[in-house]
Amino acid sequence: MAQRLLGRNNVALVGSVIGLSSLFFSWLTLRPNRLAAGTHISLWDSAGWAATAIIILWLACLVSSLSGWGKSGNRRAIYLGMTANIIVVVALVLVGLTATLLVGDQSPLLRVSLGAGFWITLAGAYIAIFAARERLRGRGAWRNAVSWTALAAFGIFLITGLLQNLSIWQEFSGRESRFLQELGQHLFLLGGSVATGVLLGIPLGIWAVRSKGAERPIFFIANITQTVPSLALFGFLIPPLSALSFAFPALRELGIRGVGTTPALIALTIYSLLPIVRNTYVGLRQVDPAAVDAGLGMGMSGFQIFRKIEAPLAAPLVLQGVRIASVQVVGLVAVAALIGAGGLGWFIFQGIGQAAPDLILLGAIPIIALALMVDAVMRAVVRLATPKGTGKESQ
Amino acid sequence: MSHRQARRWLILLLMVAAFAWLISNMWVWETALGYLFSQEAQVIHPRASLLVLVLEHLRLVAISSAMTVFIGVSLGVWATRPGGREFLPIITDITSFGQTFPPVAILALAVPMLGFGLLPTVAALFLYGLLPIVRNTIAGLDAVSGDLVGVAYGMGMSRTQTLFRVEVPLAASVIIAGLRISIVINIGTAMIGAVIGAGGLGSPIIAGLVQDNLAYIIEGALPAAMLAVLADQLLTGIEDSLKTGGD
Repeated sequence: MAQRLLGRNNVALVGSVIGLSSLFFSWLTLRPNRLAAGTHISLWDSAGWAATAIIILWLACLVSSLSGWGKSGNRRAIYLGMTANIIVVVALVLVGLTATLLVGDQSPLLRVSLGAGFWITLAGAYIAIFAARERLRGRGAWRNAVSWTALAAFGIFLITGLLQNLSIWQEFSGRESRFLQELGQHLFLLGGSVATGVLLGIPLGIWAVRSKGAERPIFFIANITQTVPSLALFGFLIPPLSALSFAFPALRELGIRGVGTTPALIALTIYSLLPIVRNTYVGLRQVDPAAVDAGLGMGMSGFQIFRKIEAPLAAPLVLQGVRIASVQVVGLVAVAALIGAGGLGWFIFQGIGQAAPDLILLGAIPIIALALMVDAVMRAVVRLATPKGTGKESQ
Repeated sequence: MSHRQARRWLILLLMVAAFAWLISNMWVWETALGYLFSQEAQVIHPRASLLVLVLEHLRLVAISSAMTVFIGVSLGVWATRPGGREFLPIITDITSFGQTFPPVAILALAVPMLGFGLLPTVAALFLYGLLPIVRNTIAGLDAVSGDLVGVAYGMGMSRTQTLFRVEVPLAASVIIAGLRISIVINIGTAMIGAVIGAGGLGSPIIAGLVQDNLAYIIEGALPAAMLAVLADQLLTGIEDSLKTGGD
């Protein structure tokens, strides 16, 4: 029981070393206004107690990754995982409080942004938490605690306003309504194009399975369009749509123009097709012929076989295709801002135009968060749709 | 080489030659775009000829892809060796996590850190292109049957010999598939590099959007699409020949 098997966890060790190295970088950057060059603030300049706490906690991680990862290493994994979570919480409190202190009653133009040190500590914590989670497979409660504590704390800090003096938040607070509008547009472009992609892609996939002659041209075209760079595809649609709206003013009334939402929706739909068509095709192809035979033997009609046997068995793979398409489209919508379709990419390109890094982040970070959320939700949907007992639950 | 394969390479060669001819003869573009967009006063982006833009574009992709291949394949090989096995789950996790990140967001994040121009674009292309290569190297090497590796050891091959003479050749087509995905994504992302001043085929499109000149947009979009499709087809050709060559 008390037997401590020697065993080192190299992944956790790498995480801890990365985390410790963050002490040599600046954690915050202070700038007199959003465009000016800044002065760097290291952990030592910010808050002594928190700096000390972070160093001690990282050292604890380092030590605990060195030994004790033998057979009875589960407790070690809990220590390490929770310590890494606490580091993230302390780091968030530290940057939040320091930013508030620095901004104080100074000029409202003052900007405090996150520096490399903070991001490196986050990366180190991610690796350490991953190492702990790997070890805690099958231990529900602790694994959840290790996975979610830091994220939950981040949510609470965000709501309580601890982080409101950081520059990204300040960029946001001036543009709340614009942000919500562009977020809505982003979601609209995402939902509209993926929904159309599903409506077109699933029938195309079924057609490719059923007809030998259709298979090759469908995949040829879907593959080629997927290869064309997004900016080029948006570009191709502009002249014909402009010509159309010029020739038929009635279309312009409907919002069909060379730039804006229409070409964006068309191009994004085209991009979402390939994953959906391909996965529908593969999904239907991998249905066990014995299952179809069983249906025939039971006297089912062709449509019944499709509805009761083929469709449910192919569903997980089709949804997997929808997941891939959705995640990809979240990113491609960002490019659509270049052709005047709006969305969160608007902030990125405005930020690039004004050379304002915080504005770029205001676009980029929500886009990444959205992609991760769409990915997680769709993975859960795929899991729900996977029939029990086919041995594919774990995929 | 079979007859079919020879014909395929011939067609690819002709396509490359046609593309090269097309981008080095600007009068073709001037005539065609001038005819299509007779309302525009100027139909060719004045910054540089298409040949220069394509070369700029290829330079961006080549620099980043060369680094990607070197580092990505090494990382993938290391993660499948006994010394690096321990890191396989975290590397797989980071690559699939990173794949969720939109390429444009990576490009945008590089700007605050590295400024404008060539450097942030190459860095973003490198980072994003790394993921498919690492993933496919790992998948390719993992798929090599353990029996074959055992046989190689039995024949007295060293670990390095086994890696280079047995495992890598067998995994080559999967690794090349990763390279193809990585290069095609990079050609597309490099277009956006024009926004942060990296040049390339994105610049006529951006100029066309800003100045509302439809001819510029087509001048950039058409060669970019051709370049991406050609690169994809060439690499698919190599991939397929490796697949059949292994039998």
